[in-house]
Amino acid sequence: MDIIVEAISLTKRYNNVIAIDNISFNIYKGEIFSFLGPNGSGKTTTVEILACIRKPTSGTAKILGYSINKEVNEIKKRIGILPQEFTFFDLLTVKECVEFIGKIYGTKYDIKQILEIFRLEEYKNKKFRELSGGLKRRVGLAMSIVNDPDLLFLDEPTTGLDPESRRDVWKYILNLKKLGKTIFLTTHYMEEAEKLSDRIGIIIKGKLVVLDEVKNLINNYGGGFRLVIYLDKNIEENVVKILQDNNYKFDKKDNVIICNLSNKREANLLASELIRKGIENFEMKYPSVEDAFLNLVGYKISEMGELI
Amino acid sequence: MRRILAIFLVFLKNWLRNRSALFFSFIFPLLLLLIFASIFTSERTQPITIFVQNQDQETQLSKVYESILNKTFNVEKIPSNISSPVNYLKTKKQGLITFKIRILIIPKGFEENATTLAMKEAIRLQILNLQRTLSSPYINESIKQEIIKGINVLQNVYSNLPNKTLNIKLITESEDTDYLLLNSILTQINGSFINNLIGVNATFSINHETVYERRISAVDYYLAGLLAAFVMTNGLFSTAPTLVEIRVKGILKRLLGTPLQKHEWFLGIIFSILLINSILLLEMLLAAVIIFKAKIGFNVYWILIFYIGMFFFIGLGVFIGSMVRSEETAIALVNLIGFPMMFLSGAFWPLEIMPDFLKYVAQVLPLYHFHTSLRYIMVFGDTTPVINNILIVVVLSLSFTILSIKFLRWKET
Repeated sequence: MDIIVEAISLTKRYNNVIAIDNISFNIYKGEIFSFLGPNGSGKTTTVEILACIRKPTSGTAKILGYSINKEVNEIKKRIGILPQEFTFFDLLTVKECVEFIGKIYGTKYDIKQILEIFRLEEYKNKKFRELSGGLKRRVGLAMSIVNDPDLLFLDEPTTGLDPESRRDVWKYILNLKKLGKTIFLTTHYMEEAEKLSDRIGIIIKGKLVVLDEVKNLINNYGGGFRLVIYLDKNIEENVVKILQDNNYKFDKKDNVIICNLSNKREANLLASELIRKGIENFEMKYPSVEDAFLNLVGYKISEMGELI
Repeated sequence: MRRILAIFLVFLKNWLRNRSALFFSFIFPLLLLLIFASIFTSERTQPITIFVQNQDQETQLSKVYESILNKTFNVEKIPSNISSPVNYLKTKKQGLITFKIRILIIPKGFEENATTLAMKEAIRLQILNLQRTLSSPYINESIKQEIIKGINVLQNVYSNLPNKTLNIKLITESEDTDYLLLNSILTQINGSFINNLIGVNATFSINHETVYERRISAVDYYLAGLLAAFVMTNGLFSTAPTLVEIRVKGILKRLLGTPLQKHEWFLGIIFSILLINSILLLEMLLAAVIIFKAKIGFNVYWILIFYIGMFFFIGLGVFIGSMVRSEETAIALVNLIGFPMMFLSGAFWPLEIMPDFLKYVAQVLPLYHFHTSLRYIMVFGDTTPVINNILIVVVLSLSFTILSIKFLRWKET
């Protein structure tokens, strides 16, 4: 596989604070690679170093074969970027925003086609400040592909958006992947990382905790399948008896029993047994990136991006 | 060049689409020029108005005197039967005294007094003439005796005529600073009136010649002052808060991810403000020349000083915008620098009317040196008397341009 990004021992210090601490990783052609972590974990710093906006304190990286220390202009010509909480000149229209970036790159581009890709034709004469949050991100995405880049940096592209707008943006990011773009995405949303990424690196306090394909992360750290059974007085005795008779391990808390199962087959067997005995108030919980994250880090990430 | 043009156009569009920026950059300065220049230009172009009450109005001589006054002043009449002319004016204007109270009262008996005075003066002159004749060696004794008799008769007539004076009453406000000028004009009119009455031609005549000496008019003063003041506000307000906003909003970060270079970014900003200030200059010049008939010499020096001064304020704005962290701080700082300079530097009114200590304060403000040099070169076309002011502007512009290039943020640390 072609290596698009090769980060080697990147470290960034701000006075006594270490923002990123000796991290190394590769990103391969055509994949969506995500950094998942809470606020202040070093995601944005990493993106900005790789996009040649900041300089690392130590370490180096190669982007599309060019060194971030020596060949900044060559890199900048070939990448696109959507910064965190993207905004732009308020009084420019959507079309003018995209055209402005086009003029900066000086490359040929088809404005009509770009606006079409992100369904922005009907908004092309609207001023940037008149757009909703989701539309602003779409304009940012449109601006990021004007120079037909090989690599896109999307720094928290959906932060602050409502769930509907977030899903809308996901759609466009997946379209970019279909167009053959390699994407480095940062996020603190577990679901976003899981839905969009080929590989995820979990980053905490500047350290890369784990980096793997999504399915491997879930399989290795997701903690298996769970059956959550909601109890009432009539069935409690019955459920406990079934679980004990079949040697299932379970935890009971208040009116809920959580039963940990080793695989999907075992989960299906237990579900069938419960249904046969007339117990239907339960749900199957599949392991997710969130479970993997919880098992690895010991915390969850809140909607606002904080560890909880 | 392509990228500089792109930055230039973006800044320009953003500026021109902002209604308040548009108002304060182009419309407000023009309004101030129209208001200030109109008020202060019209003050001395009209003749002095004087209210005249002729209490001797049936007589010929008082009417002649009135017509002489009418040639010099704008005369407004007060009826002769009014006992208090001041109260009359107040009542007539419904208490709104928007004019200066200057009342001249021609007293009753004016003609009789003037005639007697003229007659006595004519006799006195005749006596003097005859006394001079007596000393001539060519006149024999018998004629001398006849002349002496004649002198005696004339002296007798002279002493029998009553002593009269022409008491013209002039009422002015106690704070009327033009009183002396008015009094002097009236003295000349009166002397001329009596001389004409007794048939004496004026002994002195004044040959009037004109010289061309350009002096500062209201529009000259305000054109340069307002241009300098608004070049300052455009320079400060279009850079400092905007640069902070661009940084805080992450727009700078977006641009840092492109191949755009620092010098292209800087030049794009400079050119956009340069065009904004050029439009300001053009509209102000047009207004001054077309509306107020301002006579401005188009020499290269004041155009140069205009743009050099502009660089100082852009440099200062970029420097502030690069040093402070929030937009609010940037706005507060440019207000703190801009407004005192605008009002204390003499851009809006002459230093002569300001207290002494403020005159010293004004001279340490860069805007003072900017508008003073700009005005002098615009009006007189000469740089020599304001060379120190020019040097201060040039040094400040160079220093702050260098500082702004050095400190302009074009990277994340």
